[in-house]
Amino acid sequence: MLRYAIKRILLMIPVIIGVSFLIFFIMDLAPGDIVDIKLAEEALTFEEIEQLRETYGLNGSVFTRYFSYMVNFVQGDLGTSLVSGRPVLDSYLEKMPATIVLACASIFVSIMISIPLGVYAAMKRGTFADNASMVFSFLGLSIPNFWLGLMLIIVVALNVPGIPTGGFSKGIASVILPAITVGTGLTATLARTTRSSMLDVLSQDYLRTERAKGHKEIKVIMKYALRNALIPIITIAGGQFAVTLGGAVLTETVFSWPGVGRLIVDAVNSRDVPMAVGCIILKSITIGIVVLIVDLLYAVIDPRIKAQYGKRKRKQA
Amino acid sequence: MEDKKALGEPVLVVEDLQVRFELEAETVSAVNGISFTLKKGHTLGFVGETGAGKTTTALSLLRLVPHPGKVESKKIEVCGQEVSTMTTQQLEKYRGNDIAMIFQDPMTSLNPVFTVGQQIADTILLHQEVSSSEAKKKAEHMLELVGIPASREGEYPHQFSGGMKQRVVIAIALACNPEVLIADEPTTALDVTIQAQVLSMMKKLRDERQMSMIMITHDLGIIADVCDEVAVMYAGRIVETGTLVEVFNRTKHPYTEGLFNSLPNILNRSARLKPIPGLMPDPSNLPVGCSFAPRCKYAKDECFSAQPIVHQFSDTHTVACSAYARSGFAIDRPQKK
Ligand SMILES: Nc1ncnc2c1ncn2[C@@H]1O[C@H](COP(=O)(O)OP(=O)(O)OP(=O)(O)O)[C@@H](O)[C@H]1O
Ligand SMILES: [Mg+2]
Repeated sequence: MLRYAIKRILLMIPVIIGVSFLIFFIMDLAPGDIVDIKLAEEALTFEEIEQLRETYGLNGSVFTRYFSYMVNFVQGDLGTSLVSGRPVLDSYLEKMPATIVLACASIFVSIMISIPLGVYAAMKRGTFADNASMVFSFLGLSIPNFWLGLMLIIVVALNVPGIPTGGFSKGIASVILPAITVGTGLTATLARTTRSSMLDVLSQDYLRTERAKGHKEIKVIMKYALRNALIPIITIAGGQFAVTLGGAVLTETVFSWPGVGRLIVDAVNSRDVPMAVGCIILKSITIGIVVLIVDLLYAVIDPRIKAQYGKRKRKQA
Repeated sequence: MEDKKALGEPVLVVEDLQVRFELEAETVSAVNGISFTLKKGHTLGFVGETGAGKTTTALSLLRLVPHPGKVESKKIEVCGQEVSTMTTQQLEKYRGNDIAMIFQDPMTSLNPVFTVGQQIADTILLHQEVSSSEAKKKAEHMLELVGIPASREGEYPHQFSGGMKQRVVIAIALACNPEVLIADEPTTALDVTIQAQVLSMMKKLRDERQMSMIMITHDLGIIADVCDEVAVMYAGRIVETGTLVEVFNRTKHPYTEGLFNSLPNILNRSARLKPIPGLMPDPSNLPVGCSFAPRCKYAKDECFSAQPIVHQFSDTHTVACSAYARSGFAIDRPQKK
C-alpha cells in the first residue's frame, strides 16, 4: 500500500509539469501583461517599460521563461507575486484556512442531504417519493450558485440576526450560508450516485442472509447495504471535496470569502503570472493528494481492494 | 422458542401455502397450495426439478419472499407461532433464532465487506444476551464446529474457497441453535468429497442438537442419506409425500418414477437413461388439469381436464394422481417392501 502511494505521488510529477506549462502558455496567449496594466494607470517611458519587463521576467520566448520558472520551482521557490511582491506560497497558505473550512462544511452539507435522499429513493424505487427526491436533488444542481448565494443573503442574512452577509470573521455563523450554497450544488450528483449504487446492492443475496438473521430493516440498509454501496459514493464525494479545496470562485465572490479561488482569479486578471501558475500548481497538488487519500480509503472500506494493494493471502479449501 | 416440543411432535405445520409473483405482464404461480408437517428431530426432504418452487416455499417460512411475491396460507405455524400474522418485532426475534436458513448460493450469500467472524457474531449478539467479546468467542467456536480453524475468524469471504464459504453459511445458520433449519441445496456448489464432508457434518450437528430440518435438493442420493420424510414437488405442488421408504420403495407417482428413471443404474449400465420427456409447464400459464399430464406416459383424458385426485396410501403416504381411480392401475417401477 505504501509502494502504491509512492507510485501515485510520483505520477503527480508529469501532471504538475503539464498543468503548469498549460497555464503558462495560456497566460502568454492572453492579450496584455502586467506592464500593460500598469501603463493604463501611469505614463511610463519606453525605457521604463523595458526595464519593468526585464525585472518581471517577461522577455524571452514562453519556453525559456517556463524553463527558468521550473528551475526555481524544483528548488522549492514558487516565485513572488508581481503585484504584491510577496512570496506566492505565503499568500496561498494564508488563504487556505478559509478554503478548507468552506470545503469541509459544504461537503458535510452535501453528504447530510444526499446520502439519506439517495438511500431513500433507492428503497422506494419507481414510486412518487423516488421521483420527487430525484427532482429535488436536480433542482440543487440547476440553481446557479451565485443566485442561490444572493438569495440566501437577501432572505436569511438580512433577516436572521447573527448571520453575516459575508466575510470569514464570525466563526461558525459566517460559514453557514456559503456552505449551503456550495453544498446544494454538490448534492444532486452525490444523491444520484448513492441511489444507483444502493439499487445495485439492494438486490444482492447477502442482504437476504442479513434479514434472515433477524436484523432490523433499517440496520440492514444503513449498515450492511450502505457499506457495500460506499465506494462510488466516496469517489464522487472525494472528487467534489478536492475540487472545492481548489476554491469555489463564485461563492467566494458573493460572500467575500477570503479563499484561494478568488486569489487565482485575481492573479489571472492582473496578469500576475508567477502567482497564477504557482497557485494552480498548489491546487493540482492538493487535488492529487485528496484523490489519492480517497483511493486509499477504498481499501479501508472494501477488503477485496486492500488485497490487491497488499501481498496475496492464502486461499484454501 | 416458546414451547420446547418432544421428539416426533410437529414443530412446523403448513397448510395450503400459495405464492404468486404478480409481474406487469403475467402472474407467476410459484407455489400452488401445498401442505406439509415437519416433526421435531426429523428431516423432511424437498425434491423436484428447477423452478418447482422449493426455494420460494422455504422463503415463505421466513417471510422473506421478495417483492412482488404474494404469500397466502391457511396456516404457517412454527414452534407454536403463526408466522403470517407476526409483527415486525416478533419476526425479528423469530428469524435466526427459531428458524434459520442455509441459502442456495454460498458464493453470494456472504457480505463481502465484513469478516466471517463478524457475520457469525452479529447473529449471536442479536439473539443472545452476551458481550461482543463473548459473541466473538462463540463465533470462533462455531467456525471450529464446521471445520474451519478459529484463527481465520478475521478473514473476509473472498479469502475463502467455495466449500469454506458454504461452511460459514452453515455456521451462521446454526449460531443461535434454531429449532428448525432449512438447508436449500447446501452442497450443490461443492465437489463430491467436500459434499460428503459437509453433509455428514450437518447430520452430526442435527442429531446433537435435535434439530428439525428441511433439506431441499435435486439429488435423490442426498435425500436417501439424510431424510426421514420426502415431499416431491412439481410445478408448485407436492405430488407425492411419504416416509423415505414409502417414496423410494413403494413409489406411486409417475413423476417420482420419472425422477428415479433419470438416475444412472450402476448395476445395469447398458440400460439407457430414461429422462422425463418435455419440460415443466410455465408457472405463469399452468394447465387446467394435472401439471404433469403433458409429460406423463399414463395420462388419460381426465388428467388433462381436472386437477388430480389425492390418494392416501397410508397415514403418511399421499399421492396426487387421478390414475389411481382406475381399477388395477400401477406404475412400471416395481414396488419393494
Ligand atoms: N422474484 C421472483 N420474481 C418472479 N418470479 C420468481 C421470483 N422468484 C422465483 N420466481 C419463480 O418462481 C418459480 C419457483 O422458483 P424457485 O426459486 O422457488 O424454484 P426452485 O424449486 O428453488 O428451483 P431451483 O432448484 O432451480 O433452485 C420459478 O418459476 C421462478 O421463475
Ligand atoms: Mg431453489
